[in-house]
Amino acid sequence: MPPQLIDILFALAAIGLLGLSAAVVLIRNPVRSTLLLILSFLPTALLYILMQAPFVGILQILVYGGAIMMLFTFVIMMINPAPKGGEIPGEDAKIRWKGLVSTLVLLAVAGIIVIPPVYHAAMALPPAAVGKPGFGGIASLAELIFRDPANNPLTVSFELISFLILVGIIAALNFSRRRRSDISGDA
Amino acid sequence: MILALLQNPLIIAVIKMLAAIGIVMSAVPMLVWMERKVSARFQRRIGPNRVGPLGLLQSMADAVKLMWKEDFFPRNTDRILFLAGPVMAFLPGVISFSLIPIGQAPGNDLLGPNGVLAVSYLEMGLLVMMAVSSLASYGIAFGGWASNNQYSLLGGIRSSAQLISYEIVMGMAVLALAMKTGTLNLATIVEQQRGAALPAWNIFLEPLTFLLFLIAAFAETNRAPFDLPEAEQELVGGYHTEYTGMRYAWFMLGEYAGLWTMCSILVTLFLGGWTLPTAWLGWLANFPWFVVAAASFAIFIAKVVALVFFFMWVRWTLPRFRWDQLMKLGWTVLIPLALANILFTALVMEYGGWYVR
Repeated sequence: MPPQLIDILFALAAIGLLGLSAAVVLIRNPVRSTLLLILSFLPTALLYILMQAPFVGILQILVYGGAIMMLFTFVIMMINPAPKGGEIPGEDAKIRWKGLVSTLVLLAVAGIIVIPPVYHAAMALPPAAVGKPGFGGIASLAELIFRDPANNPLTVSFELISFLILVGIIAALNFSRRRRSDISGDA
Repeated sequence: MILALLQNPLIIAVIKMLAAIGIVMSAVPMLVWMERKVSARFQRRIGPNRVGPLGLLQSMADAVKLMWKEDFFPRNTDRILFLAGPVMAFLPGVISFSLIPIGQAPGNDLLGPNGVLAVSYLEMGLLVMMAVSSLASYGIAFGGWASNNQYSLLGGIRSSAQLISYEIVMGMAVLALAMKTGTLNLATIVEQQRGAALPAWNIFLEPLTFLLFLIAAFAETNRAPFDLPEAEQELVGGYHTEYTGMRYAWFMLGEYAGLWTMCSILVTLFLGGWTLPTAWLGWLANFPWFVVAAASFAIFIAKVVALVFFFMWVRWTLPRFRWDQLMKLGWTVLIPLALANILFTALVMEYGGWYVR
């Protein structure tokens, strides 16, 4: 693809993502917000693909768009079944400017903390690494994470994260389980 | 002039897209007719036989009838989502069909790498297809909710819960298959299954994976015995209770497009795609490329139609699951089985070595 086309697509995806994300929080109807959030994952995935991370982009749609948001939809529909009248009430003006200020502060802090290191890391990357065919694909990611597992810090952190998720599942099961004292009444 | 235009990759891409849409859109009315004929035979009836030869034009007559139906909107509804639901249910089936290689024109690199006939030739084709087809249930869920009707809402909720449960099984089945094939490129997966005899097909090498994927495919296409989102006896019409006319027809189109695409995926992954064992069809390689391409396309379509017949056979033979049975089957039987399947595949690949490349 010519670089100009990539730039145009990138701009379109970024504008679409910003617009959809703003609509998600501005619209009062929770089910419409859910749909807009699902739609906003499509430009997000496009951004990843344009930044040569196609695997992450596809996982964005598969995991978040397909599975997690389906769970969200399920829960919201269970709670709020009426298409009209089930809207979130508007907040009062006092909270509104506090929210605005805290959002701006958060954005500024995140910009200062996040953007410079990412920029420096991107600049430090040798250009040949990005241009290689298969960069960002499954094979190159697997190579990155699992090569020389004994000395690779990424392997350890990858396995630790899966362990963390397992702990989370067990904790959720434990919390949602009914205690013996709860069910003694109807036993 | 026309030949020069045909050398342009952009023109070829557009032609291939139109061809993919054309294949799905012409397959759907045939599937509706086939479903009616098959169900009739299973119930010792004749089925449609008035419109056209063998009743083949029955679907056209149905479409004309549906266009003249009243365009009904329920009261107090979310109009945008009500309109968007049927379209959202239909699109993923068509999009994911465009990823499937439907044949091969050997030596003709203009049509695709290695002459593979597919709209997109992607290294991660299998993952992209899983991603797109997982979006199919949103149309049913949002359409059911926007109908402002308890039965529709229950149908939509059932559909989303069913998808969450069986998407996991399908993903784990694909994981075991990907471990065996070592690639996610659909055309490469088909090429690996081209062997001298039948056991080269993945259905014989990975029978448990095939079974898990098949059951998940029944659930994801919302077909009996897992058609709980539209269970007529419990939910009137399920998610499409409030839909009339062409909007109802879009839901039907979506269901059959999904069935067609799901059968195409199964054929590609497990039944050898466009190939037949070389011992049967080795002599075909001597013909010019367009004969080979047409033959491979015909083989692919024949396999898909045979699998569609199997889906219909199951629908008109087995009774519907109860809701709790469906959930119990998914979470307590299929997911542990899928995990065991992954472990078993890994063990065989490490120590067995009898089917490893």
